[in-house]
Amino acid sequence: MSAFQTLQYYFTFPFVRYALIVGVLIALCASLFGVTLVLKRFSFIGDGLSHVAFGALAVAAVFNLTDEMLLVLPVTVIAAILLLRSGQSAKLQGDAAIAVLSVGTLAIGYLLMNLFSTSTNLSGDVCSTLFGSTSILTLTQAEVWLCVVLSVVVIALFVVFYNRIFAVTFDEAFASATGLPASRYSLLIAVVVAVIIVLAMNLVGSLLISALIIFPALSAMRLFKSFRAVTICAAVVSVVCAVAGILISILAGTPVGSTIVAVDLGVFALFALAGAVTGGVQG
Amino acid sequence: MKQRLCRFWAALTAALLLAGCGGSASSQEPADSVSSVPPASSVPAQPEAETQAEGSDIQVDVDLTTLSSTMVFAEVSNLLYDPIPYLGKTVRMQGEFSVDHAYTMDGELDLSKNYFYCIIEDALACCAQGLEFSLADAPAYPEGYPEEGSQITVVGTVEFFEENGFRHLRLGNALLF
Repeated sequence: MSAFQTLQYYFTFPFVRYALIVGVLIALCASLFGVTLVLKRFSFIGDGLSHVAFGALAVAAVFNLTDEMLLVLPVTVIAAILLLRSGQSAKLQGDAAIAVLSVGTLAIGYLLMNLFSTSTNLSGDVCSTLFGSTSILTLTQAEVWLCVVLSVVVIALFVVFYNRIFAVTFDEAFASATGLPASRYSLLIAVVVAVIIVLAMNLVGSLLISALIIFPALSAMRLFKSFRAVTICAAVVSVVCAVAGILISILAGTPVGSTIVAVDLGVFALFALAGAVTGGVQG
Repeated sequence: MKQRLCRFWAALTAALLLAGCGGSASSQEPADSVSSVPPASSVPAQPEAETQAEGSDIQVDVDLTTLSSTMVFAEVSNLLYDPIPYLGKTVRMQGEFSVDHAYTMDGELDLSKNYFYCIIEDALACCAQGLEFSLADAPAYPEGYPEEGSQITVVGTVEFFEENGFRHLRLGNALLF
């Protein structure tokens, strides 16, 4: 059987179709806001929040919650808001706050899972949550719908507030001076990023989420210089890499999350080469 | 600038096309496949394939031996978490043979009652999943079974069975290869 025939056969499985739909949506959302985060030098906020989500997931598992999302999503959103607030305070700088939250919640999460988990396969659960080995291929129909709704909301917010996000991204102080409630938009960005993080945990696991946010934006920045061009290019790169990663992983039998990130890394290297050769495109 | 960019993309496209020419029928080719029972909505039918594996002359609805390790993990997860669509379907699986023994109410090992599993490794090798099976001719253990840890192929029918008031899932009426 050729690779094409094998793929055709795999597409008859509903979970493969679900994975592609969710993968494309998450990749699109992550790349749109990834550009803003990279430009605001908040690249590692995704990492910190994903570890918070991991901690919340551990608590949900300990309490045997049937719908983990009910706990994970609010906790991650609250952490995003707290992170933004503490980032503005002089006592705890943004990067230090992210580091504290990141390692703290990761450690507490693993500790709780070890002490109280009722699962018979603890290492499997932790491995799957951290690296997203195959979570994307075991989604239920309800989870797919939740992802579709949240993704549509995230994309709509980006399109509607595009100009304001652009202003806040490049110069928050100037945006405030012109009368724009910049802190509110920064808060909106943080909340949306928290939603993306929770969604993306299914795709690449909590340790690899940063790659999904950062790589497409950085790849696009190697070639393009304008915000719009970088955003469009990042979205295309992210979706193509996610689809390619999922297809390669189901064909070759490799872990989904790390395969997607490996494809992202390869594309980044190609774009970096292209950028070095061409000197970038002024568009 | 644009000329340089076009030249780069032309070179890149050519390189990718040339790389594509080198491809061969990959090592990921499924080992075998038997087709045929009409598919249920969530249990796809097997396509025809060229190579054959042990017990491949038996028609099955779900052939886990033809799937990549990532697909096997996902399919077995779906089977375990939502078994209803799979009930009554025949499944072929390949993995490591494992035995579990029963315990008496006093906590003593009861060697007269054994449970047999096929352990299927996943892509990360951290999330192996086991499916219980019950052989059709129910031979005595250990004479009628392979050594623990050896590779086996099992063909059986997905069914529920009750024990001590609990409902369990297994491949019943199974054949071992």
